[in-house]
Amino acid sequence: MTKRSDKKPRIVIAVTELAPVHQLWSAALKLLAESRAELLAVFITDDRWHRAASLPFTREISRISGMDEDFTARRAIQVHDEAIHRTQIQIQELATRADLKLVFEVLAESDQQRVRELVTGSNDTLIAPSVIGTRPLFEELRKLGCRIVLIETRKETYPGPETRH
Amino acid sequence: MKPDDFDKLKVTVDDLRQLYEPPGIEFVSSDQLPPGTRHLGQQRAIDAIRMGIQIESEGHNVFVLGPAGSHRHGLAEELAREQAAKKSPAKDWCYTANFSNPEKPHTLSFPTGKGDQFRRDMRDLIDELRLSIPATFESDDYRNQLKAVEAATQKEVEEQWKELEEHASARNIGVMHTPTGYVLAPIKDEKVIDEEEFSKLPESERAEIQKAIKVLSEELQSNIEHMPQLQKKHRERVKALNRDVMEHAVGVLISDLRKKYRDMPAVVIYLDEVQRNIIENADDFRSPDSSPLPYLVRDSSELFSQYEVNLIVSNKENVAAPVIFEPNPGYTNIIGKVEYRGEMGVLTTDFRMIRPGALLAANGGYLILDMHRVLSHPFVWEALKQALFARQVRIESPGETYGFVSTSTLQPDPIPLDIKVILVGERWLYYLLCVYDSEFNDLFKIAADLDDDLKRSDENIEAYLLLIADRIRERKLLPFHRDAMQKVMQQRARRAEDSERLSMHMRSLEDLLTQSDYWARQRGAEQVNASDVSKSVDEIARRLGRPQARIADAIQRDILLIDTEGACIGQVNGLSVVDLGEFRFGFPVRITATTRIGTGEVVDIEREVKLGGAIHSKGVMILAAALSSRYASNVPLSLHGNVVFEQSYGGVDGDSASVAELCALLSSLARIPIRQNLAVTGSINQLGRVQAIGGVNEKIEGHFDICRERGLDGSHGVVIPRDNIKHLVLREDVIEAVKQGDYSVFAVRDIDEALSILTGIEAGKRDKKDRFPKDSVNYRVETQLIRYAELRKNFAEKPGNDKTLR
Repeated sequence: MTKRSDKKPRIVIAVTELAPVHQLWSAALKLLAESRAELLAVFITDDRWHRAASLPFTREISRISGMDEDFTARRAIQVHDEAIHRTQIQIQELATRADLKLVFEVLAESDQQRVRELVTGSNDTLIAPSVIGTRPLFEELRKLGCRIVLIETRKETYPGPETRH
Repeated sequence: MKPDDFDKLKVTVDDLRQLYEPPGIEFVSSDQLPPGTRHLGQQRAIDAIRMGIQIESEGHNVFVLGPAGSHRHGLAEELAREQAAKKSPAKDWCYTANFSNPEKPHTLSFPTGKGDQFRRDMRDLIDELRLSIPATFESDDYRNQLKAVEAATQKEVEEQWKELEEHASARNIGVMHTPTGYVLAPIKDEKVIDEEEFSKLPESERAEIQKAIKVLSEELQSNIEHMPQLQKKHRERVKALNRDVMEHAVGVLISDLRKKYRDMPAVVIYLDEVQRNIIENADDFRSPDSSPLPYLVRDSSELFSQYEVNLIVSNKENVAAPVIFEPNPGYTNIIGKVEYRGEMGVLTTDFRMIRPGALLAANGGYLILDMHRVLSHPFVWEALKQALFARQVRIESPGETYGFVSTSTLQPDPIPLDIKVILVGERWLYYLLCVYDSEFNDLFKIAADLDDDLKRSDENIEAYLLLIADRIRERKLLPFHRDAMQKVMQQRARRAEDSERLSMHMRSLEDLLTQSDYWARQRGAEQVNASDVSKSVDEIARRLGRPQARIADAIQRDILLIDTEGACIGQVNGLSVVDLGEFRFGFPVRITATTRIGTGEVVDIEREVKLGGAIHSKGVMILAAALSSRYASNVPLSLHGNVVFEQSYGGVDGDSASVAELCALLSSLARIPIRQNLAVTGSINQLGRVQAIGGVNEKIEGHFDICRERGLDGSHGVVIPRDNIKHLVLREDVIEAVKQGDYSVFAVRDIDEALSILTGIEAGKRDKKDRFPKDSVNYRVETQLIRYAELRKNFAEKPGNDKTLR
């Protein structure tokens, strides 16, 4: 868990499973150019996989073959962890490429206490996908008085044909 | 012949000393002589070669027969070049890719020099394609067209999914993406319902949700199954787009070439194939994407190189038909080869790695080969014959031809062959091939037989002197003084083993000139004189004369027993010659004979112990026949004779000792001693006629050297066949000794003359009563034979003895 060491402004990138990291990262870079803030990426988990897996009739349909099989709690954990892992690698790569130091943290949406620790006041900035705006978490953040930048992320597209450019 | 007449048989100094100076030419030094005839004395061979290379008909290839060093290659090449100059340069040939069957590359032929032009044109085309094709795919125009294609496909995909999503949304079902697929789950207030919430729902609603998920799952699966078809359709659209774009880009470039080569239909067809191939494989020419296995990505330069041209025969620089001499006629050097390169542990090849051999290089012209070397290399002779019979060259490895190699390789189109082959070889090789290779005479109908020597005439001596002077100039040697030229001519006669002929062996002539020049330079002279030539000859003898020195030493130390004084019954000095290639020497050998009563046998001990060769045995049999025909023909020959080369431990061959052997036998029979200060050589026929032998000069000199070492007193000499006088080209010191009366050379016609000289007693001729003069050698021989016959008869008639001996 990250502890705050000084009063240095902080930019927190809140990423979710459904939001593309690139768009949020671009917004963070712009802000970093304005202030020498420390950078923190927070993956906000949701429990939709676990909820879906708790239903006895939920099945996962293969994208390649169209075959289906039970979507179990074990598979839900696997999918969830893979999403976190993938996101972490992606954002760390972007930070390395930009020669920036980045702290990555996983946070449950329900963990209000930790949210208050991460974002303390008006010096700090939260960059989040617009979908966060509909979540209870957003209300909590607004109360903290920090600067919030909501990014309108593109809707997830369907897999199309593979082409080269 | 009486002893007083013996001097008549002596060879005069005039007969020994030959002059090689023609009356009509005056010079002091070789540099004053004008250029001469290039190939003196070879007109017969020259006419044959000219005829062979001018006849266009099949099989009129030429075989030049002659010993090594006779300038046979140079003559063949010179005449071939003379004829080639009258012909136009040959065509150019190249191999190109066969796009439909890469293992069978195609050929294209071009007028002289055009092959290289086409190769450069194709390289330029490739350079253009290398730039223009990627540029075409990078262009905005292409990108826009591609985007349009992609957008159209994406629209189709999205329409499918949108419909599904709408169906799902209407039923409060969410479509969630996992890394490998989709999960359908019920949604309430934008959140996935968990088991607890689901269980609280009314039964009907739960059933409704489950039913909706089932229906949507089927719809989703249907979409997924349809996706590959969509993707295929999309790829086809992109391919069609690429083809259209390439057709335009490539067509413009190739159409220029097509116009340039419109007179060559085969080239135009090839260009069409190139265009078709590039368009069909348009995708391959785009910049490759990065790959996790970069070594598996095909290099674009490799793709373009398949349109290169492998120009295997170019006559661009030639103004005449080609003349090729291949000094190393291995299979690949004659036929050609397909090379390979290693790629990731595998050997690969293509049409660009086909290499031509001498047959293709000389196509349209002349190929000169050394036959001995051709036969020394495996498979070459058969391959050469096949090519000449088929009149085409098929480049394939011998392993493939004979089925030894099972790996696949190229089978290039054969190339038509229009060539004249000139083989150069020894005579024995030609005659062997005539006998043992039934196809040989079908392919090599013209034999050009080089003469070994030239008849000595004023005209030829003059021409020969000019030839020597030419060689001196060509080799940039010091000029030769007139005396040196004389000496060289003498050596040429000696090489020919005939004072009336001059050797045409050019290598030995050039060697003698070069080495004489060396010795002249060693003494700081500006001109080669006779002593330099003599020195050169002596040094050859010194360099190669170790065996000769050892034999001479053994004779002087009486290890090899040779008497040079006194007389002995049944013992004669014969003469042997040893051939060491470039050097020959002679030395005396002791021949002895013993006789006793017997049944008419003369035993050749050399033959009995298998040290005698066939010709030697023949000589001994002839002398036995001569013996029986000359003496006491009305009584059974009741002699047992043994003849042997004393202290001879190696093989003996030739019949040049048969006179000596017969003299030893007759000496033994007649009990008349033979002079040991003389040596004798010569072969004999059944009638007692003495015949010419080889190596007469070396034999005389060998005996002379031994006698001189022991001290010449005027009694020493040698008996040779009279027919050999014309072969005498003796060393100056021997001639000088003869002139001073220290040494004699007797030339005899028949065995009687030889016997008379060797015994110092008249041999004797039959009188009208068919009787030899009393006390003559022959009288004593006949008397002894009659006595043997009587003794034998008496012996046989005694009781208990074999009656058949009578």
